[in-house]
Amino acid sequence: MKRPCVTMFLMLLLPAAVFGQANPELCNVYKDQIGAIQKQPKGKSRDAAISDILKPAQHAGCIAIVIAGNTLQGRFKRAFEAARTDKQEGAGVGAGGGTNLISKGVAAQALSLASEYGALTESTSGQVETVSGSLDGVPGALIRGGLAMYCIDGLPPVVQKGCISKSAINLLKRLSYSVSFDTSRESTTLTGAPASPSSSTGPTTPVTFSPSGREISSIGGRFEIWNQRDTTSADYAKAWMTKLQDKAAGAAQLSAANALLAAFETLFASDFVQSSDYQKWYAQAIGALEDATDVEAAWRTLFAQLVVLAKKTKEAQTAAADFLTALSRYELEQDLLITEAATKSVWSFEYADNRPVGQDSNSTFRMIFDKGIGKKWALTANAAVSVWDNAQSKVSVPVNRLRDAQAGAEIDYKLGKIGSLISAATVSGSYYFQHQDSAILLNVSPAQPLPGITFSDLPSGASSVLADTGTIHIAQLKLTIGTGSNLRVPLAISYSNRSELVPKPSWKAQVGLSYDFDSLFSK
Amino acid sequence: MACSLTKVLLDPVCDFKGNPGDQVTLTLTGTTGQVAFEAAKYGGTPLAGLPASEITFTIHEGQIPLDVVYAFSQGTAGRGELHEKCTANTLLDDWVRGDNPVTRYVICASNGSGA
Repeated sequence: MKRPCVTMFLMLLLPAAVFGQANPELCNVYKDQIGAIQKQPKGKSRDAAISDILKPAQHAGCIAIVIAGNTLQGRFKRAFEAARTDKQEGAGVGAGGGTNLISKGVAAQALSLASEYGALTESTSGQVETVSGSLDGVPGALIRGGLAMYCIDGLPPVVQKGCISKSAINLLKRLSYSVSFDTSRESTTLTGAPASPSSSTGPTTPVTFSPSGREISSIGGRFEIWNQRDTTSADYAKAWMTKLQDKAAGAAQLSAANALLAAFETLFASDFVQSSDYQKWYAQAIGALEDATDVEAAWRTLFAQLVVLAKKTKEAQTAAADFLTALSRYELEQDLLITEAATKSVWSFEYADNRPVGQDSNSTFRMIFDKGIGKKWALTANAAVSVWDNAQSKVSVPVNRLRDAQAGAEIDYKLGKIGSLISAATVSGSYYFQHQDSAILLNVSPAQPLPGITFSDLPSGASSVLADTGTIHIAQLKLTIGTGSNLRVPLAISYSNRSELVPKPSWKAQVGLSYDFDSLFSK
Repeated sequence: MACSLTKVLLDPVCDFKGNPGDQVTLTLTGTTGQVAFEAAKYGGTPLAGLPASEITFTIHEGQIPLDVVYAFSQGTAGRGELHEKCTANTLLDDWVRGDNPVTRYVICASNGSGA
């Protein structure tokens, strides 16, 4: 698993080589404007079209790519991360300790650290911190830091060899990962029967969980199998404009635009068009294009002359490379914002390796369905099976390899803005079902007691306990409020007929807190 | 609202001419997707309230650059037109393109001549 990741990373690190060649192709804008001139008969009737092509500052990318030449290769330095909001923060189902009953189809793009309290499917509760992200965060960071180039549409591909394409980003965006850390494993009181019954029945002996010492409670990966993309409807146009103007969602693009504007001003100093050389070239260009039979050939000659004029200063190459770096970043941020507004995950597959304390590790395979219904409703459904990674140890009775089967559904309703402090609120109702096919083996150790964990009716020598099999039903009502600065607070109340370890009904209230760190790195 | 700007052809510096002191509002029409002003500076001063679908500023005397970064709902495939928001809805630029998102217009204005 490690090798493909390393290889992919190295491929991304390859320099965006050969930006700028001796005789580059013309950019798309020039090609179209040449076509517009060529359509007109020779003479003054071409003047409007000629006027459109002559100004260098109105074709910044077309000129910069030629001026920059190979200097771009030396520009790629360092970077960091990206932006997005509509993703799952916190632990997925099975990681424990989270307030999420249902896994969402989209994960955080970059670092997303969620710290949530309360457990739903286990009887232990504690603090679970989840780091999650999608793989496009890596090239995104490289592009933002100037270590790599995002392919700029409209400029000749031949001079952008080595750039990271939109399709590569979109593919990597479909792959996400998460690692959950259980940083505070609280104790609880458990009642169970010994896995290896003893003939002697002594007094009740406190028996404790034997914590594994592993703080990683879950490692997972997710692949978005199918999504819906809509960039044409009126609803999309509205969603795009809303995100563009949103202080959090639009921050990365706005920041990139301001950087682009600054680089543009440096590249095109306003005194350039006042120079006599430029004005002489301009006057000659009008005549040449009015009379040209082959407008493209005439423009290639004129363009070469213009580049020589613009390239006169030593700083021009640096300024051009800076501009292209900024343009590359701007196009990346624009595409990411479009994707966020236009793309909805529908079907995803998720794998999670769960490492619950006191139990053997298990793997969960989950299919996720995620679909918006109208403007305010969304439905998410999951189906999953968990299997033990190994045959359970220390058991004298046979235990099935299939640990459990799960299914769940969540319906969300967007309440929208509430007052001046809460910019977005969502109310959710969830139902979760789990059939515990095999008994969970708990490893207990009297030598390492955990405060608050007490087993009753167990012999003193017992080192393992089997929890009951059966069916778990959980219903949850959740209100998630956001402040508009990527801070989200889920408040939930849930009822379960039992948990995996404790065969008693319980009511629970959970309060979570999550912050999307992407916004910090997008400035 | 009376129109202030006129397009200038084949001038090495000026793209539009107008009258100093006039307040102008520029709008965008998306021909492929939607277009918005993402960031803009007039005479080196950032225009407030962006991103937005229109910008408003007062024309200053001289040859003053208006530098604009456009945002496109269809990315580099997006196309649009720049108009002055006025009775004639003057077309100022029909080459607003997603694959050329940053551009400069020089607005020339002088007292007396109106140009």
